[in-house]
Amino acid sequence: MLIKLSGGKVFDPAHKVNGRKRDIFIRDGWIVTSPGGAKPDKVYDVAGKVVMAGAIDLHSHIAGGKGNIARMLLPEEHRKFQAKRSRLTRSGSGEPTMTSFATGYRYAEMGYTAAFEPAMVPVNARQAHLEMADVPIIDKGAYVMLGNDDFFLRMLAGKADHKAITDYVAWTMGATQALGVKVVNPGGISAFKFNHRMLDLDQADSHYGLTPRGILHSLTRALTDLGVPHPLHVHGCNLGVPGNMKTTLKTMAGSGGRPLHLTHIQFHAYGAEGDRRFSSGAARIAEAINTQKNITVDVGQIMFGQTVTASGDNMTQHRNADLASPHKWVCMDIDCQAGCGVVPFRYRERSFVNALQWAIGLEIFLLVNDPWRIFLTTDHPNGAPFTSYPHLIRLLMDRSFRNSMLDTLNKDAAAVSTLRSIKREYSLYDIAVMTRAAPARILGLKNRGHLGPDAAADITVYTEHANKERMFEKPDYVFKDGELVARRGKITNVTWGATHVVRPEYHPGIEKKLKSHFENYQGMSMENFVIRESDFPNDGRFRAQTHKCGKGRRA
Amino acid sequence: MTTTADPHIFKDVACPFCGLCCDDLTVERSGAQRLMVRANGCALARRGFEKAPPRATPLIGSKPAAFKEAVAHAADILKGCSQPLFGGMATDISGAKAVLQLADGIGGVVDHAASDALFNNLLVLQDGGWMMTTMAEIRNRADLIIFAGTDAVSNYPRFFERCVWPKKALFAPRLRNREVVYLGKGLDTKPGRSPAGRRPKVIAGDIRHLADMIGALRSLYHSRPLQAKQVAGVPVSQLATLVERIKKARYGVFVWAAKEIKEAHGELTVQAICEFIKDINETSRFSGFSLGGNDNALGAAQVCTWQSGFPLRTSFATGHPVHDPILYASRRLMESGEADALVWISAFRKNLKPPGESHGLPTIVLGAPGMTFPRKSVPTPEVYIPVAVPGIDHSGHFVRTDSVASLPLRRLRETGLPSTADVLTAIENHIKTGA
Repeated sequence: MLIKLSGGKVFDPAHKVNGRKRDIFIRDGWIVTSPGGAKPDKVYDVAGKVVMAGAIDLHSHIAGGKGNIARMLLPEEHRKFQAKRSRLTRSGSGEPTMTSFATGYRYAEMGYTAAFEPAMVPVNARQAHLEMADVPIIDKGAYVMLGNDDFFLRMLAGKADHKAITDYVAWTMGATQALGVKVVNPGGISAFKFNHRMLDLDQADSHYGLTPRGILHSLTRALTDLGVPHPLHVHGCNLGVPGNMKTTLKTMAGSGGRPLHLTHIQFHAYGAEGDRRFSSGAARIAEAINTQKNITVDVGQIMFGQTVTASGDNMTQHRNADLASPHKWVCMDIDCQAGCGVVPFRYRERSFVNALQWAIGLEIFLLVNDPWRIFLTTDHPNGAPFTSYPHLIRLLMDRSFRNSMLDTLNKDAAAVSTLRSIKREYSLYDIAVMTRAAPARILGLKNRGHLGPDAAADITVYTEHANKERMFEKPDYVFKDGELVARRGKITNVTWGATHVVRPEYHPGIEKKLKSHFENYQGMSMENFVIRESDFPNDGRFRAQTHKCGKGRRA
Repeated sequence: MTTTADPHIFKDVACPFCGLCCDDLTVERSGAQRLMVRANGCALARRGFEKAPPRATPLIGSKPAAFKEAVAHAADILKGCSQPLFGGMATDISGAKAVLQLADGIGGVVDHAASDALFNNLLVLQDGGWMMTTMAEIRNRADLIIFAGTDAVSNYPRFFERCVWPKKALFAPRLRNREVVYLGKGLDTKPGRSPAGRRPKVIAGDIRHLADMIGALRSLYHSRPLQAKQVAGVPVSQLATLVERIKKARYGVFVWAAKEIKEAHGELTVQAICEFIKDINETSRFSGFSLGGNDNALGAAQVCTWQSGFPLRTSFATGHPVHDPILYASRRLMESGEADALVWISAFRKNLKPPGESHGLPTIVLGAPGMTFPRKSVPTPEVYIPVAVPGIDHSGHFVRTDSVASLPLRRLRETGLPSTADVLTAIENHIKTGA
């Protein structure tokens, strides 16, 4: 099957193509250069339309236990948003905690062709994959959470050979079918189980005597040694605490030049100045990002309205539980590996803090110079549902719209924010970088996020419009692996995407230690913890696509 | 290469016959189909695994029928329905997914056999939330475990072996000093004795007044004046002593079993426990743990939640999911006649049969092989299709009682029986295409 997209304006930053008129050919799901003399089976006339690769969301809580807790906690949200079944699609509900099928459809309708779950608890990984197997169309994958698990903390505290820690990280990634590793409040989730309520970067916990800095260092080193493409995905210390930007700056400076991805940086970019002891740290944070080329970030932009915060960081979530709106919340300690906390939240335009959070996120977007190192996220659903991306893109691309929104917010927050003075507007090329080319590169997905030969034909075609929100919410055509899956914001075909994984090599000696750990402490057999592709039904809904690790630095 | 007909020893087998889903069993297959639990089972496991080779003939009415005929007959019944009820729902994750797919497609209601108990917890989650913990946390970290109205072992036989008195723990002093307390009279408290011989504390109050005991504990914890000298038949001084112990706990856990709560509106009892736990966490660490999940109730709830947004008791009759824990309870739907057919699914055991309320309702049973329908006690179904048992006859997944771990179930023998998912998919295809 040969398909031709004829005459579109192509934005393909991976190949430095910036709006050039170009035909694109798809053969059997893949982009090809020239079809030779072959006549296309199907031609789409996309003359004058904007053509980009499918968008990639590298941080979106789409699957796993805490999402289901959030759904169970908030039946009222699911009564508000309902999707009927159709001939093609399954029914669904919810927006911040959208159900699995609806999540796949909505992403695809918006021109997204991949989304990655950033907080997979090892012991819950099997369920996360069973759930992602019900997310249609888009590709998916997950980062496994380490750094609060007692096996790791014991090794680190016991001064285990770093090679053994590296083996453990590699083993866990393979066993849980992960694409990356995330650390959430390093050491803090474990410390909360010992009744700590805060744990700063250089503070040692009372049981292991380990600092978050030491944990970050060990995990960063392990991933670098293994050559895992995606750097350590870090949800840092002191999320949401006024003045936390100091910790964030120290975290960046302490990376020792190794790649580090700081996630939902907006929540970690707060000063403690002003009458209310809450201020923007965006300028300092952005400056640090601009100078330290080893750092990447995603923003975690907030939007106003009802959402729910679902996080592995139960220490922080418990601290903020009184802010729950509606007033109900869940915290869990999870199996000597992790934790989770679910706190519903309504961001309010009239609130000084919320308005400033909104401005801080946008300031960071606009003050970080290099769109290759900053990614468009709302930390779905923590800052806002992913369905707000078209609105967010408009805020970035349209200064007058941005300033008119600022006018509607808490006056004191608007007055102290520098946002109004920032002139920058993102270009379509910038958007293509930060939502396509850059996430593919930082995740190590070689054949996604671009439109060159040998790329998978994940393609989105938009009609250019002065109102960028309108332009991005309902693309004309969305192709997934060469199949037309959505047309003008409506699903036309339901396919099943791949699950992206890496499987770093490890010394099998680690399995002996793990086997006894599982038997003696975990109370579960290691054999049953390990997730194998053959554990899933052979229906194409769990299809692992393995990516290679780089050379790394292992001896 | 071995086939499923050869004798074989399976290790690390996960057991789907209670919510603990122990996964350390050794099961021996002798000959084609006979299984014996050789290590680490309990009575429930032995009963589940060691069943005789099954009878495997579908029935239409009481007459044996070919699989295809049975599927066609079931499809014909469902075609004309406006709100069929998918009840029981005792099956693996793939089975639950297939139930949801069919119910979504034809506008049915989904519910699980264990929902009455499950909703004692879920109503609390929906109303106020909670703080919970998991099996490995209890095993390694707890220094105080309070069994509220349950002894655990009567329905979850290996709980003490796995979580309360393991040989080792990551935080050894916590295990060494671990204290067990029972709240409630008439419980089997023998397992509460530690390997070193320390006896459990038993506060033998009337279990029908468990919520009163919790309320009194909470009042005492907050130093609120309490007029009563006795609560649930026990002196307040006993409860006051427990409160002092709770305050000293490094990591305490309340354990309850939702289906063993004796009070009407059991959710209020669960909520009393959960709100007390939240209070304690203002200053120290404490958590809740609920025993349940038999027949993969939590697996069904998890799948239903991520697909529909709601944890069971959800109707698709209007084309989108509508949830109500009271309106869409199986029993009410059957008694009121709002359900116009019942699809009863019980793949793990042959003794979980359609309830009496289904009398007169066209019923399709997907049941473990060997299920019988003696006229006196069980309504005769229109169609009975024997299905493979997950974890014995086919592989699959089971969600453990804490909802955190899902365990892989394995195929241990070959019976040629279809899985729940196979049958439901066949019915769905027949409804769609007529073949």
